[in-house]
Amino acid sequence: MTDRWKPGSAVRLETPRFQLASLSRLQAAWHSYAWTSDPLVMHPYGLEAGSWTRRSWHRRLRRFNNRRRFCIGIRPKGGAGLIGYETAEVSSQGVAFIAVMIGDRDWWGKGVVQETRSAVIDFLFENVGCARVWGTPGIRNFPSIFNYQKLGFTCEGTLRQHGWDPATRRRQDYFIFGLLRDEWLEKRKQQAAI
Amino acid sequence: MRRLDEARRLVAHALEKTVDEIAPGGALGTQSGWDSLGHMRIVMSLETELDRTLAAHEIIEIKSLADIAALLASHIAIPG
Repeated sequence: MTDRWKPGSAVRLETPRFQLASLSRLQAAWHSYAWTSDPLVMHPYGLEAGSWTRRSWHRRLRRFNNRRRFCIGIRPKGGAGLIGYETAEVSSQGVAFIAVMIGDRDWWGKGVVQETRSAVIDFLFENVGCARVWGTPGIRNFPSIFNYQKLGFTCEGTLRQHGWDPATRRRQDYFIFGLLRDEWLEKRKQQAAI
Repeated sequence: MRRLDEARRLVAHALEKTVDEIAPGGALGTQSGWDSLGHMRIVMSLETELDRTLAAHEIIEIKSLADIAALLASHIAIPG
């Protein structure tokens, strides 16, 4: 849960293990540049690894305005550096497209996305007023598929040959996962009851 | 029953656990060790066992031991 957030102001969220805070485009590019040389981090997003300069990576990222476009950095409590970030882009119809990059592989398999994405989804539904949240993992991105399913998203379809897989040098399919506000609130209610 | 036992063995191997640690009703996110990386290892182990790449509709259905058992049951061994 967040303090009352105002559009345009930085987002600050807290989970049991992490501090989440808005990043500017420059901050996101600066802190994440080291990850761009890791194919295991970059390829799931259809991005090449190892060919980025600081300038080209900065230009690749969107401008974030904390109104409809958010980049929320993830830092473990206790003073460690940035390990990843969640992004969200909200349409004028109140639909948020989300993605996450955990660039620090030491944190893979430790439940980071389950914890931080829950906080971001709470924020999008409760503070931004979204009606729906959705994402599109590649069909071979098994960890990401797991995370969407465990958070209660519904697989709504497949985008066929929608993107490029740098690992296989072939086009690849993507799943569409969607979550409605009422579904999320019901899930939260059930979790609170346990 | 046999396929469910095979599924338990496959998941145990993928998650580096003993078969006894894999509950018969084990499912995505509730079985100890079946986290995001565990899920990746399970799906890849299943593809190795089936000797093929899973289709999108099969990948999305893998949520429990029963689902894995059903996929294993669909695999028909071709006599050598």
